[in-house]
Amino acid sequence: MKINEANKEELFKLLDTSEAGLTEEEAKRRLSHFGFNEIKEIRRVPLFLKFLNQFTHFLAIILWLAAALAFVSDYIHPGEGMRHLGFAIIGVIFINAVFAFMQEYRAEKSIEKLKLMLPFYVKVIREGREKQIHAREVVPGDLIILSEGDKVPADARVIESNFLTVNNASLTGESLPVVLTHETEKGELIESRNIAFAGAEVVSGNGKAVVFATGMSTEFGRIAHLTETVHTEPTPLQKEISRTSKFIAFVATLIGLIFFIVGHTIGRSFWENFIFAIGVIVALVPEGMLPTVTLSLAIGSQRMLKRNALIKKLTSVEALGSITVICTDKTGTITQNKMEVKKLWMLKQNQETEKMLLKIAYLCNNAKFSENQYKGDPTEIALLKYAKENMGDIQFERLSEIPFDFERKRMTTVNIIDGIKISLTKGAVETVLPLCKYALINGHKTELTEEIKEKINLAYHSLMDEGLRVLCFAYSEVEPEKDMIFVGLVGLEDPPRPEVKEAIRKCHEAGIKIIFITGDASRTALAIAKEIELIKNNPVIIEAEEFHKMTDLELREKLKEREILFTRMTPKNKLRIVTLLQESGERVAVTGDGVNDAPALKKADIGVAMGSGTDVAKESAEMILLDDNFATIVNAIEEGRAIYENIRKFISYFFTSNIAELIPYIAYAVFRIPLPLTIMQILAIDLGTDILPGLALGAEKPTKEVMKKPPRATKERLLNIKLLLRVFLILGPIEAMAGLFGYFYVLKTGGWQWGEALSANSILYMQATTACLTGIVLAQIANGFVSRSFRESVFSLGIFSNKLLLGGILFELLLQIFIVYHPWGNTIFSTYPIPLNIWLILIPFAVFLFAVEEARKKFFRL
Amino acid sequence: MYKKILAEIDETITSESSARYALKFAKLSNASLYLCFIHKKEAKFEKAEAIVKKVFLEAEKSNLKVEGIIKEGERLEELRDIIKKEKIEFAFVPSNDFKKISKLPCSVAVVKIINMGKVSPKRILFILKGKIKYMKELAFFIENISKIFHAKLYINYFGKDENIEKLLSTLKRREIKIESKIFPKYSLKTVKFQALSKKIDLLIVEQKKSGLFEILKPDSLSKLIENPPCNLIIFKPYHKE
Repeated sequence: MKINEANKEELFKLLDTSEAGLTEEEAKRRLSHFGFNEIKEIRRVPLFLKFLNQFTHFLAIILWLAAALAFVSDYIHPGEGMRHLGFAIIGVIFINAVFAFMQEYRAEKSIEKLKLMLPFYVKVIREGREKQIHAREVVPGDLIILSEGDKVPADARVIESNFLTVNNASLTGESLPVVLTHETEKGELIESRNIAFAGAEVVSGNGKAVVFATGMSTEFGRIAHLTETVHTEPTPLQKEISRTSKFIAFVATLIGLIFFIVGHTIGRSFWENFIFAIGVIVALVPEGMLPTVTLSLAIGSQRMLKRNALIKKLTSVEALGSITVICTDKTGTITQNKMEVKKLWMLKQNQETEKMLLKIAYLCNNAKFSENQYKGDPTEIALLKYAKENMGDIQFERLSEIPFDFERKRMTTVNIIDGIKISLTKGAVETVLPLCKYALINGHKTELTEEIKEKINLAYHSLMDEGLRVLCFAYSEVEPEKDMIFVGLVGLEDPPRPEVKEAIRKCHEAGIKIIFITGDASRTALAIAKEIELIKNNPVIIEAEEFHKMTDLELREKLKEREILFTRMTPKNKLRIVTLLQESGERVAVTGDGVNDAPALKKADIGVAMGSGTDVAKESAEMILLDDNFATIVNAIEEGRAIYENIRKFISYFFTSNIAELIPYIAYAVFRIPLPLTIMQILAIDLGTDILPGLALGAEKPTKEVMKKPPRATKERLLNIKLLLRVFLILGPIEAMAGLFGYFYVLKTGGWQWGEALSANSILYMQATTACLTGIVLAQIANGFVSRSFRESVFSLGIFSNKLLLGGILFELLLQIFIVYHPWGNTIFSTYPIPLNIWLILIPFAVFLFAVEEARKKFFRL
Repeated sequence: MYKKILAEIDETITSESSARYALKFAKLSNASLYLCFIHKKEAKFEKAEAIVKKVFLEAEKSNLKVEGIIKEGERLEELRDIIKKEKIEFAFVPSNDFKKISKLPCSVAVVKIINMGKVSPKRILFILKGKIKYMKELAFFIENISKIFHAKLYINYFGKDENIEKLLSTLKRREIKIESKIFPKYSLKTVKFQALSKKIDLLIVEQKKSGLFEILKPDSLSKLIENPPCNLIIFKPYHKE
């Protein structure tokens, strides 16, 4: 026996209870068996573990290893500054961890928000007496008393209803109240009108119900459980950073090992080889990459905020750029959510009939006009406003109301107008018209023939084809909703947001598919989709009924179609669509605002909550649209794509200097020359001069081309082979050439002979390493300019168009001057001032790098 | 297939639902039903007695051969004794002491009811994993469940055993409509997600005999029974090796 199909006796038998409720002893036993009636968290990562995670991801581990090796090296050969290096690397790890943690410290609060939706106290009948107990002590079999203003504490079957009307918005997202009945009902439990669900609010009336499910086993608990169970994949960037880190670690270890063996075969001591291996790792690991990625994402999220998209998790900034499908609601996101009456249709328009139509629009309406503004549901506001403007105010008395609900799709009020009792109905044509027996034509009541019905249906379809939401108006002089008299149809329009058309065009160009999920009828949805140019051909339209009948396999096939609309849908259907799309390899953004949107928002690659939505939806989403606007999603995707491109830019920028740092090391090992670049000088580049220009590259604005490419393929790597060849074979060697040229130029002009050993404190040696460092830094300035785009010339972008980069390069120069000429700089980095002519002979290398890269862009685009 | 079915009853209302599952199963297989309640010394047991009585009468009404057994003693020992003595083939038991119960010498269905509103399920999900053994018994069990509840059936299989195709085609031949999905790797999170997102009313998980390797892994069934996403049956076919 299903709970919704059971009568009172069967229900009492099933739950082993009675009119007198449970005994205290039985309630206690059930409490220990079923547990407290509360929303529990299944699992939560403690805060300190979340913080610790920032220290244990792969790149951080590489940095830890580099720091440890630096300390070991300092222990073996004290006084070479390796200790400073170790501390500096640890500093980088800490700064980055704290920064990333602060940004991401927005623990998952969706469960907490859900908890707040359940009541604290509830009235129950136990041992035949009414008493108030804590809501968490409610157990299955408890008889609860519900009255206006109460919140339903658990899922319960109604056994007595006195106009018991509840609002299930927190559960279904549908804001209109539902009248509950105590009668038996067949069909799905969730759709039964004899069930009061936990979290629902009693709007009016009162009643009694028997609890059958508590806590996490309620529908409300199911959503909470589902929201927590949804598996969130790491974002593409997290995966790529991890992959890149592994690549760096592999290359560094491999090179270190090769030269360790080479060093051994040419007779170098074990410790010399060990120090060399550390040098290789330090030179190859881009220590500045991690904070720059974090900062670049933070800058990106700030820029998105200016465009009304609030990003909650930093890595989502980039994930947005990889989106291939957007599943969007219609009302409020695509449209303005400002309903307006566009057309009235009557069988024969005359003053009498129109007046009746306006009366129904005015009276069968719960919107209010007070303090010079309209308040209520947008559709009702539009009707009230239209009626008021065209007919003025009317005096009336309302006796009762049968509220609108999604099952009946109509509402009725019983009013007294001019002393006559009359019931007025408005609602969907398919539910109101079958209840009509007559029609009002020329102010006269006429029999409603099949011919007239067909005429009405034709008008209904033609209004829907114009993209209008159509309501049917009727009244009855006998009893409510019986033998009704059809009066007319009203077509309402919710105009699309003006910027949506352009946003959709951008999506089409960018290869992003848009799936429309709406509660509207198919014809209305299709007309709007055509108006905003979302649909150009014959789309696949799937209505809710068909959707439920389809197997996953069938639905997955349909989802492959280019143009697809889901109509007559409710938010709860989104999760299935999102899951199937993801299983087909799509990266999905989905919009939502209700509690039951939460699982879909969490499941999607990017959950987009509306600023006006519920707290639960906002907590489950990665992005919040402050203006509820679809165009904002597209803007955010544009920013996301630009950020991914920018990350590639600065990673290649950092790698170039890493190669330039590695080559002098190899020269030192192979040719047995004095070390051209000390480890502290390597650090001066990686954590000093490179940082701000790198960050400026991360802040490059999106170019027009960004939204003209299809979404990046899942298999596309952050560092692809072309990019690596550019760094390893062109830019890196040119920079190394600049450094080594400066180094040997100083040594040679200083009288150094090949094979001659130099002490670390000799001025000539220090000047030579300073020249090497300066050569690399100058070449990096040119690299900063050319790395702004992999495809476009610096001249077409505008040399001065990235002000941050200019600032970064100025800082780079000033820092280099400080390192070369200030005594503190000299002490920390073991440098010594060099004459101006050394700078001048190094500049042509920077110019050369610039010219080579510009030529490459012209003839061979990445 | 099963000619003697046992339903253990305790002082909870959920054990009544579990006993009713056993009753329906017995009715379908025309098996004898044994309703048993084991209590500790000097414990009160009016409620359990009432449940035994209620289900006993219902079974008699259904023309089933039914026997009521109320015993005093240690639960598992007594259960084992009854099973051996009466040659019970299938037992429906409440979820307390799940690990020990699954070692009973007959096929076992451990029942955990968390939502009394869904004791007559409309959507049932079967979870199978690894090597498909005892195909005949498994097919019989699934077929009977389908006939008892007339519910929509889903099968999620985790693994790579080709026998799953055989099982599905056997069920198809018996005209049992099933929506199936195959996952390469088992994860408790996926099971829960599938159950919650498909709004499953009853989740049925097959328990495997744990090998040496499984001892090292966290026990996902215990976790599932501790925090099930919906009403749950853990089914363990019994075969003497």
